[in-house]
Amino acid sequence: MSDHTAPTAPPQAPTRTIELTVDGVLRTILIEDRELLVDVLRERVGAKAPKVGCYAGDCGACTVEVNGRVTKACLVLAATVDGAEVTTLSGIAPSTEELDPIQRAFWEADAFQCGFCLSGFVFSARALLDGNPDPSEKEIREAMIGNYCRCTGYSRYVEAVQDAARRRRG
Amino acid sequence: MIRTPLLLHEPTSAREAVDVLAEHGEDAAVLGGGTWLLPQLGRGERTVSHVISLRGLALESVSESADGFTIAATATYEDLLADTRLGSRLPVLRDVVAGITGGVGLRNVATAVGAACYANPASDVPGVLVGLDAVIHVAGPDGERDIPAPDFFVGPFKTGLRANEIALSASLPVNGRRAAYSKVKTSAGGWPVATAVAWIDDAARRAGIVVGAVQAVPLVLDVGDLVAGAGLRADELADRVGANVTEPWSDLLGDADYRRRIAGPVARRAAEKLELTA
Repeated sequence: MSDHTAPTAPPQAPTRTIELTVDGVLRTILIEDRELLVDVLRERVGAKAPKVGCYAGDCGACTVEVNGRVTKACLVLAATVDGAEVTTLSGIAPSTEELDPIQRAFWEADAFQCGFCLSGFVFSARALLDGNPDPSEKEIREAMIGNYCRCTGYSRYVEAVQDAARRRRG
Repeated sequence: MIRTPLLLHEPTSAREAVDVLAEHGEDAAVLGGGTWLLPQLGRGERTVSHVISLRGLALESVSESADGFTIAATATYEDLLADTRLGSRLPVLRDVVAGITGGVGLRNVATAVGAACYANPASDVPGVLVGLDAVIHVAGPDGERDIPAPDFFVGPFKTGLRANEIALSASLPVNGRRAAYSKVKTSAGGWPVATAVAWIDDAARRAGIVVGAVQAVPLVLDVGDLVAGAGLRADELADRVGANVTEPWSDLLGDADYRRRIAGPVARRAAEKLELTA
């Protein structure tokens, strides 16, 4: 027996198993408590539509819906949303053959180039149009706050949302 | 990615939450919305081994009484926006919340009480809670107590919370005052550089102005002597506010001189909006 205290093993990172329904598919996932929702979606579920931009809630690239609420997924510990339904940008189209009207409008207006920021803009547009089917340009610009695009300069987003509003109104 | 392992606690009572906090002290953090805490942990500006979520407390987001409203520590800005009772009885709060930076994806997560606990001088909530005469309810090892908002904001990023106390909610009175809010920010997605809540009690001929984001803590001025009709004498108000900003806050968004000079005009705008609410 040595007088020395045995070296302690490094502390195990706390883990847990959570369930998430991601774009309609139920997943049972082992996570560390410290993991952010965006990282769990990308690295453990393989849902690559939400992007990692700023990790600070500024850029909007990681946006998803959690239980129907538009959410910046870098601001959420995955462990706190056990049981949630998560919708990513990949999950809003009615089928693999057909885009959501907002996606279609963004596509036709050339509103994006690289697409990195698209989750934030499309989910923000959806939330806006759900409550306001005919928004003004000012209302559209205000609703897009919290999303950064470094390709297109934003004006085409406004056109796209106006077009999407028309499509949704029929 | 948060750099160091942590254990998430989900207590189901305030007592249990306080016990967990007391057990781990500085090695624990309370998670309200998380929009400040999680990025801080990710950047390594703060390191804790324990995070205490308040969701398990199942607090009622917004509760209404004859005297006003109580908003829970877990109530998000979108919860406040969606509450039609708040919108009709405290319309100024709707103006404040609708202008919170970060978009709907942020407002669905961030909480007003959490912002109060962060006590960033360059933010909306401190000045608004003081301007609306709020009281913050906290739980701690010695039980629960109420802290009036002016006593809650004691310095930059510093609150009147004692060791191992947790803010549970904030109460906002509906007290016969009309109030209006104005703020200046330097970009659409930026933090406020100056905010102002102007209020007037028509029956009592009393009025006040609370200017936020220009000093370490909100600046409170009695301006009852400036009441004129349904509003306030705007030039004198702006001059008085400017003269009372003696220790302006300075950060990357605006230096001390800019904040000292912008405080009066922002107060004037709030007063002008106030006139429209008559």
